[in-house]
Amino acid sequence: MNTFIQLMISGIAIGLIYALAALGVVIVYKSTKILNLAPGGLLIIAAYLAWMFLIRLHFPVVLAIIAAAVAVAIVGWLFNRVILQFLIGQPILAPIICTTMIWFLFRGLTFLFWGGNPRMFPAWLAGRPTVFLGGVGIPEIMIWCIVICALTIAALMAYFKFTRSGLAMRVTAEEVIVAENLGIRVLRVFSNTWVICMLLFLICAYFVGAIQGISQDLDFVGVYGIIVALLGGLESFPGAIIAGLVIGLVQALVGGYLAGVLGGGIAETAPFIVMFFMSFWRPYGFFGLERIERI
Amino acid sequence: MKGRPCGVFDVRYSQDKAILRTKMHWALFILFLIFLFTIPLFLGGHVLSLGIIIGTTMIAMFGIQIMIGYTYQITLGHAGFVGFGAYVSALLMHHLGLNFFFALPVAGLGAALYGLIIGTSTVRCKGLYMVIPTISAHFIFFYLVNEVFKKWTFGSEGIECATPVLFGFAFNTDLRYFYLVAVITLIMGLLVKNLVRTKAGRAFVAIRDNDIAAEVMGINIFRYKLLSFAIGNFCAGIGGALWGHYVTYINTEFFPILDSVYYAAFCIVGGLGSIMGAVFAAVFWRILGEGVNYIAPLLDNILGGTAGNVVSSMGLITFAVVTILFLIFEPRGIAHRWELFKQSYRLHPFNY
Repeated sequence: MNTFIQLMISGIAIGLIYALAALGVVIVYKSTKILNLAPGGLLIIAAYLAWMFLIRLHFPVVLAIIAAAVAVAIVGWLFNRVILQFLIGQPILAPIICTTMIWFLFRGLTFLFWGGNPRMFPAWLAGRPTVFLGGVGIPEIMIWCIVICALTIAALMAYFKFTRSGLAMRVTAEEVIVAENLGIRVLRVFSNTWVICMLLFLICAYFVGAIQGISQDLDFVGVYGIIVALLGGLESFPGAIIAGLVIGLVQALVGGYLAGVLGGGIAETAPFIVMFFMSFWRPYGFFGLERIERI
Repeated sequence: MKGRPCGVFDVRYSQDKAILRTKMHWALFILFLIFLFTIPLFLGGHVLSLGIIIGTTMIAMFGIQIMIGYTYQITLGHAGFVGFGAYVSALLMHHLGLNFFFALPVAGLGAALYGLIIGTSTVRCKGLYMVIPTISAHFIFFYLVNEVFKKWTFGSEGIECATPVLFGFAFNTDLRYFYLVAVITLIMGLLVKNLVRTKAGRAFVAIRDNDIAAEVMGINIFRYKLLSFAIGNFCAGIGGALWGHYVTYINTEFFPILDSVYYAAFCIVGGLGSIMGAVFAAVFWRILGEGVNYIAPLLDNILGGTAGNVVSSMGLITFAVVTILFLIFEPRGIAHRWELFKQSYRLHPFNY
């Protein structure tokens, strides 16, 4: 039973991280209709920038976090302005390949500048002790992860609901041409989308980096983020969160109980097998919009 | 229909259907064949091995050209199918001791069967959602090789691929292997070129342009999508098997997810929807890779001190930048430039 609770907690924590990464994919798809396959790379660059400000440049903690947020926001803005705004409206393969290539680009760039050795966040983040709640050992970072991810998701919802630019984003998600006619600067909305997406990845990066250490292998979280977004439906926020939890729990439980039976690789492969059968049943995801097409 | 050079008129259907239409065409083709089969005799081992790798990539690229370029079934798992073919032929030769020239088509058929299983998802999935089953296919391939059939594939230790032997003649040097690959590449190229001109090929194009309209016009789109998957992955399997027996040792790390994306990306760089595009794609990709391999150590010397970081990251950065530049500035690929060049050559004295 203790093992089960432990696996559940770590599944929820990992699931919420996946959910955040998936939200990064979903908001981009909703407003720009680009399937963002780059979360792997964006996560890596966010993690390395966060690490750089904290360790390399010895910034104080709060300042380092703010500086990292500003830096990733600039990366997201540039990303939209330099590359992706030219790909809006092109055949669907072009943005898919382009974002994937950006993943590889960031992988290569971080490798070039910081090398392939895994890096660690400082002890106040990465070296959290394990707390015992009624005999169940839970790493404290997992609890923080659950709390902060939940808060971030709530803040994101509030942003869309209550602010003007969130409203503009929702209008753009509905229909770009209408949004333009209403006087919304669509290009600015697109840039905002990418900035928010990058900030989400930064939050992911802090926690994943604390749990696993920072290296180029972080992009696996990004890959699962894509899977989660597709599983939940590319147009749906609740879908991304629910699917994130589902995939996180499936991974934790399958890895915990079935690894002995089905081999060690099953924890990594299980989400893909789920996805494959999902594509027969509901290819648009749990909550995705099934488009009615005309000739 | 593509233009003809000035003064060339088709008076018979056979002329209309010919792949090589004019005498000039024939002359160039024969010259090319002579060039292809004599030049290796004078080349060093390194260029030959590059040629072999280009050939095997080209065969796999024909497959992805059929799937993406002609049917627009987006696939990001092509390297998985390439690996599947390589493993099928390696296993057949290793455990059953079959001849390579029997194992090669079986490898293609095995990959095609795997493609058919994955392709059944097209019954509900389409457009960008095709990313899901195809990427899953790649990871399921890893899982199959490393965990499920570990007893036969030896998991991550890898498996040896025997040297192909035909009637006692072993293809054990680069030169001999080059001729083998060249012949098979030519045959596959001819098959694929003809395939896209048949009923199936036209059905593929109809599905690519608008699948609902194609269905309304009576094309069984599920069947043709499956056919496209089968043929595309057949090519992948053949290419993979040839490549595997050239490097003589394979494991799953030779078929990374990276390569799957590169296949699709360089298909765009080469040009979607033309067989020439696949040829350009394979040549461009492998020569670019070779150039990077050549330049990266030099750059490493100049920049210095970063413990080989340049060498391992240069490929990623170069390929990414080149592909992104192509997507932004020439989304129709090299094949489009080639068509423009041919058009201006045909009209030579005039410019329209």
